[in-house]
Formats: sequence, C-alpha cells, structure tokens
Amino acid sequence: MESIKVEQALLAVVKIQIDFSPVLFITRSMETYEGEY
Amino acid sequence: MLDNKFYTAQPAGDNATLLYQEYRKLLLTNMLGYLRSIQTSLGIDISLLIQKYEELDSTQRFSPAIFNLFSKLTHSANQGEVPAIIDALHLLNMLDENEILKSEFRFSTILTENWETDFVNKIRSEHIPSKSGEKTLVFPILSPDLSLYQGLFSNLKAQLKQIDFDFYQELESYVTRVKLFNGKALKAATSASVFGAIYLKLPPETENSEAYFADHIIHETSHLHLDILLAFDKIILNQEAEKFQAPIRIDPRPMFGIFHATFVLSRMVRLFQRIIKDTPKQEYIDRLDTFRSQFDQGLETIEKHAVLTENGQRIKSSFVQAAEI
Repeated sequence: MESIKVEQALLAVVKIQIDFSPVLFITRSMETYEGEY
Repeated sequence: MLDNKFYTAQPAGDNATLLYQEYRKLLLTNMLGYLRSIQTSLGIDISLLIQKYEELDSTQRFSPAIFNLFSKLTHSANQGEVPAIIDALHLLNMLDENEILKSEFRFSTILTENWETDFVNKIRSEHIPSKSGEKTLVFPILSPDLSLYQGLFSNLKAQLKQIDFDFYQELESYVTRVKLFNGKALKAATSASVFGAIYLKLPPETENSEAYFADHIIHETSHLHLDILLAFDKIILNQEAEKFQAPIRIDPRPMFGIFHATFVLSRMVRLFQRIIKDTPKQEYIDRLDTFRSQFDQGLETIEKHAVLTENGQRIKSSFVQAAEI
C-alpha cells in the first residue's frame, strides 16, 4: 500500500530533474529519423 | 568506446554482428542508468523493472520494440515530464522478454506491431518538402498478399550476398523488419528509435521494381550502420541550426543529415557499380549516374563546412575508397 501512496503523490508532480546523462551519444539519433522524400 | 578501425564507410563484414552487440550493451547500460536515476528522483520502487532489464540477454538480437521504449524513456526523462516517464515505465514493465527478443526477420505492411505507432505518427506529421511537391501520406497496405515484393527483397539479398558479402552481413545483422506502405512523398525511412526496421513505400508503377528495392534497401541499411557508429562517437560537431544544401533532399539540412546522406551515397555508388557488373541494366546505370553526382555534392559540402571529431574525419577519409571510385 505504501508504494501505491507514493505513486499517488506523483500526481502532483509534473516536472522533475532526472540526474542522468547518457553514456556516449546513444540518444542523439533517436530524436530524429532519416527519410527519403 | 569502439576501436578506431570501426570508423569507416567501408561495409562492416564480420564486424557487423559485434558492432550490433556493442550497441545493444550500450542501450542496456543507458536504460539502467535512466531507470536507477528515475527511481531515486521520483522516490518510487521500480527494483523489479530494473532487475528485469539487468537480466536481459544482450547477446541476442533485439526487436525494434525495445528501441522504441528506450527512446520514449530517454525523451521523457530528458524533458523531466513525469506523466510521460510513468507511461514509459509502465510500457517497459508490460514488454515481455519474448517481445524484446522477437527479432526473426519479418516482411509485412506497417502498423502490424504495437511499437510502430509512435514512429508512423512521427513520419505522418512532419512536413518535409518533397521533390514531387506532394504532402506526406503513409498508409498500411490492405491486400494480404505481399509475396511479389517479398520475392524482390529475397532476390536482392541473394544478389548482395554474391556481389558484396561485407555489405550483406550488415543487412543480415541489423535488419529485422521490412515494412511496406502505400503513400505519397516519403519513399523510405529508418530511425534509431525503431532500430532494425526499414519503412519502404510500394514501388511506383513508373519505376523498375528491382532497381527501386536495391536503391532503398541498400540506402536504409547503410543508415542503420551509421546510427550504430553515431552512438559511440559524436562524429559531427556542427550546430543543428546550421543548414546546408543537401545532396538528396531538396530542403536544406544540418550537417548531421548531410553526413548521413553522403555516407549512404558512398555505399550506393559502390553497390550499384557492383550490381551493374553483375546485371548491366539501364535502370541501374541511370540511378548510378544520379548517385555519383549526389555523392560528389555531399562530399564537397562536407569538405567545405563539416566540423568533425577524429573518428568523423576517419569516416570522411574513407568515403571515396568505400565508393570504389
């Protein structure tokens, strides 16, 4: 029950700072795509 | 980090399997880093979810599904958007191991698997100018019989295996899905966010289908190889806001896109020269002429304007040799 209460409390939180930077550059290409038009 | 020898436009050959495995390891390392950080920041217990991904076997090939969820997780975490983070955690919880490791090759139309929705919506919604002047339309094919096209793909693979085994090993290692669609403007696409999937429009009636498949399958497979290299080294240091004339597309693009296009074109020139030696058809010769001129244009823009890392320089230096010109 305690863990569900913690999750319910998150309803009040919209933004948060996540303290992790990707190792190397793996996320960069994921933000886009290469399309032929 | 990857050894310097991998930073080349030359097809990877035997190294394709190793590179893809290193890429999957990198994905898992990053996913666990994000999950642990989210657990701390939000004060929630997601230890079972973390354990699930700690135990995932990265020696096996992944389905595009996990790349899609990793992309959702990192995007929401980087933005710090709590509702989106919770959705991503939920989807990672729901994704079972069989689904993650469902990487046997499949040839189908689009929107047959859950992970595709985000990507299809993205390609549908972006308004990128096309040579035809048409607006992008992307639809699934309702006819269940795609055997004609599957046959074209199989024949192409058999030919590539004969004429360039080093390139064939990239196709065999990376490509887990070919997704055909009906549409306008967009011809083909790949993304690291659905790594392994190639999206391809049905060949137009005005074009030779064999040449069309060769063109776009070689093109998109080459993007996947560069996506792996770009995960380990920044390669291109130019600002995203800087735009240049592009060798293939009509819209000015950042150097990231110019480099991608030129990398791909070095392989198009190489493979089409080899295909023409094997099958000297006019349809291939016409396309090769276009690729040669586009390659020269891309190379010139890179020479003039690109700011590259040492490994980026290594790739640039290999373009002409990879193209075999």
